[in-house]
Amino acid sequence: MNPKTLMMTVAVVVVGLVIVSMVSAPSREDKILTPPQEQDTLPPPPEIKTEGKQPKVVTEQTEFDFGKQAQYETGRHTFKIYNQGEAPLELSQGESSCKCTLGNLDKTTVEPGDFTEVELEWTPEGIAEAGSNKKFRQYAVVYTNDPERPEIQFNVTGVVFAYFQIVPDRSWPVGELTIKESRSVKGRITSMSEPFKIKSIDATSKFITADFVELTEEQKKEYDVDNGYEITVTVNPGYPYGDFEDFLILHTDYKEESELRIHVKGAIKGPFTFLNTTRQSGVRFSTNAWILDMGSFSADEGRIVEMRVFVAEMPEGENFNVLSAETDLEFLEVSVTGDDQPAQNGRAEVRMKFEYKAGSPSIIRGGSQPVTVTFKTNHPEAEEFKIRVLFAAN
Amino acid sequence: MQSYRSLTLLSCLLLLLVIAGCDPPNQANSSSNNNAASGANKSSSGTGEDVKDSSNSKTELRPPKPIFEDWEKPQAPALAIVLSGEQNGYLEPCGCSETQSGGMARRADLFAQIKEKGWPVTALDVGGFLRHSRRQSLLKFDAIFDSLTDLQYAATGIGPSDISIGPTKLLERGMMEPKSEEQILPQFVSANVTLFGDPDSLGAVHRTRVYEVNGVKIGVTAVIGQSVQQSMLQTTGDDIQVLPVEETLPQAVEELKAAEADLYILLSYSEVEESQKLAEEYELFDVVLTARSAEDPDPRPVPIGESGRLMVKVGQKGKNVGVLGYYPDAEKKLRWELIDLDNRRFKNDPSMAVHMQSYQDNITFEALAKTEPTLTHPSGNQFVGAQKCVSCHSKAFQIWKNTKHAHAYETLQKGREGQEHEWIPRVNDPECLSCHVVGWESQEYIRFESGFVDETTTPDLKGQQCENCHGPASQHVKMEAQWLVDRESVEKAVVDAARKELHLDVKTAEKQVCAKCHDHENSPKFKFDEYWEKVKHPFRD
Repeated sequence: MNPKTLMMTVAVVVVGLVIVSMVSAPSREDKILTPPQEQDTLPPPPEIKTEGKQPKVVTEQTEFDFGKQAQYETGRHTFKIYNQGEAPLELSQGESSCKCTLGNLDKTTVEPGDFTEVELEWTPEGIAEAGSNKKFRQYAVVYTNDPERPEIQFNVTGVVFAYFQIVPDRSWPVGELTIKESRSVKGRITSMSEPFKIKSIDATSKFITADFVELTEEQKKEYDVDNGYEITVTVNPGYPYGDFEDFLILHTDYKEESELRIHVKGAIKGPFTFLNTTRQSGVRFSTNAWILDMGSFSADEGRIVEMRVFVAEMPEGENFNVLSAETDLEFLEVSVTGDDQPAQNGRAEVRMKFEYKAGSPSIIRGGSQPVTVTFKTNHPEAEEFKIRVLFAAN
Repeated sequence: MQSYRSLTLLSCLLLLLVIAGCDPPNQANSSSNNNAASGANKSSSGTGEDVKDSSNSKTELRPPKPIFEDWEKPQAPALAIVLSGEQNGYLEPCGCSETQSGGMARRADLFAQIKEKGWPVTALDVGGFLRHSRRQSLLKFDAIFDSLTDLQYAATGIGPSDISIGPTKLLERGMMEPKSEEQILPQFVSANVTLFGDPDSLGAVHRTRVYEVNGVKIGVTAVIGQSVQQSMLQTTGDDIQVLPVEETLPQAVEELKAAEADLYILLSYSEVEESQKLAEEYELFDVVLTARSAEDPDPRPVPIGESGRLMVKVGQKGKNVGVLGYYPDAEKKLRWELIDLDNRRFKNDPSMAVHMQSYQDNITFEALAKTEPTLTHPSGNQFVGAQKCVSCHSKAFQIWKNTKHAHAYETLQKGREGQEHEWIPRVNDPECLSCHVVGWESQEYIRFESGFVDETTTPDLKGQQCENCHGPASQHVKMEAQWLVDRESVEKAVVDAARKELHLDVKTAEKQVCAKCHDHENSPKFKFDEYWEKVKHPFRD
């Protein structure tokens, strides 16, 4: 055979091999179903026949409880599917909960009298993954051609635990404080393994302090933990008005968590609490910047926006009074009612009305040129304050 | 020669026949491998977002079971009561992957489908609307409650996450004034949560609510159970108090008894075991909706006693809601179905878009990305943007430029492929920005001081860039520039240290970096080895 003929022959063989491998159907035995993330399209659900011999699905169990499962550790369980019918049982993979993997479905056809196995696995990555209470239930569905049982749902359940945990989570909201108020909150740090020690606690703000004490035996039992500390965080006066966010940094001798951060946050509130209880479309009030957006409206019709305002920290026995409310735009009127009522438990309530008078000219006041309303009051902490008002009167 | 040639051809033919008769290589596997490879190539062309399920896998599913099968036999329910809970901040389906369940828009479609059947409907929620307690959470709370108002929810409980946002928002929503006499507002109910030490919570939280729909009188109350209270912060503040259940629930029960309702429901924000005990102890309640079940809970109701009373679960994140059918004249008065809000039976009801739009508008109005407290990066360095990296790391830059990472910000503007027509941009939303721009703590949604603020202020920090993995590069850039100009002016050790600081090995990336955004929810099919192939850049220049 000359080289040309030899090359031709080799080429024919190679092309033949490729064609055959592309067009031949796989044998039943080799139709191994791979997990969905590893293949493009899974076989369609098996067709259910209404006449003739039928397969019969039998399962010993469809639910398995892992009990307590450690965070990040993969749990696996194998379920069996028997065919006790008279026709081959066809199987295919259905939906599953987004975190559950249907590992191996050995066969897509189970002959009468035979069985196959399916494996479910799940790895909890975080306590929150399991839901706020650490319980989990994951499922995967297998479709069948058994008309009596066209789908089988397998479930794995359990409770996730972390060897090391901060409760609540890592974010501790302290709440809304007045500027002179000091407030403490208590949480805990716990372990489900060997004892550990907190060496020290630092804070990223000088207004935050923290103490810790070891959990008592009673507390350990109550919280179902082996070891831990109760941590008391105190926010002391000193933060300015507005939101604050800082961190507690815990130094421990625990091997994998030698430095832990707890996010401490809250807000220092002024004496006024603005409530936008009417919720007109397009109307919003920024409690952070004290900006009222009255929205977009017809200048001919005008617009009225009312807000309820709670006033705190009034000296005992004194009424809160708004002495004046002046705007720098004549078409916007501001009035306050209810400030003649005595405060109860140091708290008074007034209503503020912002009115863009109907028939006023079309004016747009955006963020770069707001209308400023200046209030003067008898409140010792707020003798004068300003609210910026935005609107588009078309 | 001729005979040799014939023999060769005959051999070939025989060989082909033999091969054809043998079992071929596994087709599924080989096709899987091919597709995996082509998928990788396709993805690296970079056309959109990265932090989402980018797998090409498809499972052909049977049509899901229709909802409420047989519920109209022999007759339709007198009332359908939708029960939900522990939304945990999920206005939309959990995560960025479109195949996941839940979302207010699909929930609204469920209501629409119930109404299409002509069944009267009402709704209750056990509470737990939020996950975080930031200023954004307050805006989200508004969006959720505006949605619940549209859906005519009658009452909701209060969960720990709702308490963590402070009393002002609870007061504001609790005191909300209806726009018309007909408008039903969702009232806060709780037997054991009070605001500002006032037993009546200044009128914002009600111990019970009794109301009537289609002639059915419903009495409802709610509690935060002892089992949940123990995992909440204990505070010395008195603006929100959570009182012991045993001291408060009996009073609510007496109130409800006096109202002589047809159906009593307890919204129990407790561990399932405690809810079951409460259901057994307080026989007044026909139904106890418990919190703290698994995310996708067992759909079956738990019978309480012999008289047809039930405890039901709805899971977490709003993926599922349950519907209770009330059949006053039937022997079995209650039917229960837990409904997975999947994308096959439920479409996005357009009525909810206005709330998502308003939520995004409010985020923009409040300029959260700019005004929320920031973090100092632990390195002390600042983010400088990929344009600073390109002058030295040109090959790596070229690779990055063609990845989806480089276009992550565009996804926030335009949505995923196919979503463009209904997409509401979220370019100012910290919860989205944190994985689509440079310089944010991605799990907590907090901006580092020098991180992306907005398109105008920090145009060079859009997208997922080099520094999100390697760390802020200001010191490295400064040292290299100095070294280039005058090698006497800076010590080589300092230059090297700045370089080393930004070095990231693949193992660390896999274990500590990528998963911050490619987490279970936002990238459920993330596999480091596969995804790394799409972005690897083994070049130093």
